Amino acid sequence: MSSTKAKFKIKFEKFEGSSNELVRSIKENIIDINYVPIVEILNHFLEFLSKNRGNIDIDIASETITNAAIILKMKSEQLLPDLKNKNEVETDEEKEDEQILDNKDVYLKEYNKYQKIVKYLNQKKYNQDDIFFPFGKNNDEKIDIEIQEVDLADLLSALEKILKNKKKEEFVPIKRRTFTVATKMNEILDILRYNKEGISFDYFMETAQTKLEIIVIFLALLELIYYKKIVCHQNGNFGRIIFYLKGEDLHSKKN
Amino acid sequence: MSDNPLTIDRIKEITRLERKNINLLLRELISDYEKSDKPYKIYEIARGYKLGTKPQYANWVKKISENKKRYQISKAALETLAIIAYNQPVTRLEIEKIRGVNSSGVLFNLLKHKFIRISGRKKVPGNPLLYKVTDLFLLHFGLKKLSDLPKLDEIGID
Repeated sequence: MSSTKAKFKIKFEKFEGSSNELVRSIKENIIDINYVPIVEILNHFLEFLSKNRGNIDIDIASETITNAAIILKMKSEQLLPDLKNKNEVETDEEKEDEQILDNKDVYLKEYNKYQKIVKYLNQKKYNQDDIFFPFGKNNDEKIDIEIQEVDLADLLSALEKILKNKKKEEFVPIKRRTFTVATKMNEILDILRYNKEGISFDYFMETAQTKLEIIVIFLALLELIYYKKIVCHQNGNFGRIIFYLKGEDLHSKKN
Repeated sequence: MSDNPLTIDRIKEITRLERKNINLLLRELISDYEKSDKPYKIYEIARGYKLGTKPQYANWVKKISENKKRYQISKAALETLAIIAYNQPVTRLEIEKIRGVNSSGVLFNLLKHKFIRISGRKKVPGNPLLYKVTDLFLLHFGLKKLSDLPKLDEIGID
């Protein structure tokens, strides 16, 4: 440590001294860190280095660099949001957890009530299973064909059955799709015009070659029903679903 | 002989009798059948009246009617039915909130078997479907009407 070597000294408006002293002053709150012009200090340091090349006190210089880094860290920590707020957020989460636990209790209570209902219903069903009611028609008798209204559930069941059966799709060469819902709608109307006695759901589905065609035909049927161009009836429970042009179903009224 | 239970209104339509008379006659008929040796009697069920077999003869009837495939109802289905019956009309989301699990499969099956029906849409964003139980539900579980179900609070206290 030769005294002839140049020692860097920090100097700015509010302070004069070594870098160690500066850091100490900041930590003891003698100087407000916001007033420390770190850029200015570092620029002076660089000037000092280039002016005193070959003659720098290395210990002091390295100290200066270390302290400058410390000051930079302190300054950047100032930029982060207050740690105090972070703690507040945590207690809110705890509150939320408590609320969820409370709600869970309520939910469990509700759920348990329904479990009791389930037991009750099971008992009722067990009793009711011993009572048989005659149905309006017998499956074997073909004298009365009871026609009932078809609802969405029936159509969906029928579609489900068809799609299940068509599961294994044979390899069909990819060709341009030649049908749309609109073209299928027209096709269906044509078919029904030539077959006034009605066409079954199965028949339409059999004409389809791919799953896509099945779905398009189904959509076309639904659209035609929606626009009241066709109607459909079902022969009793789980019977065949038959479609007619609207207005053609006069001969198949309920007995 | 129709599928649906005969309601008092319908009886009134056909016979043109007064409600009071109809009720009296029904009571008489019901007790006559009950006392008789015949294997069937009149049941007050699903908001109407139906002729059905007496439970004592169940074993015999089962032998005759091989056609009757009783739909085995799952616990999940029963839960869902219970929720719908007590909260109808109710959306799928509301059902799932109580059950805590996805219910779309169960709902589809219940619809298929006509235990529930779609009664409309709720007027909230998304317009979800609303479900209600059907008369078939009442029939299957031996209930005269929906209000015959025990109150939720009562059943909690056991």
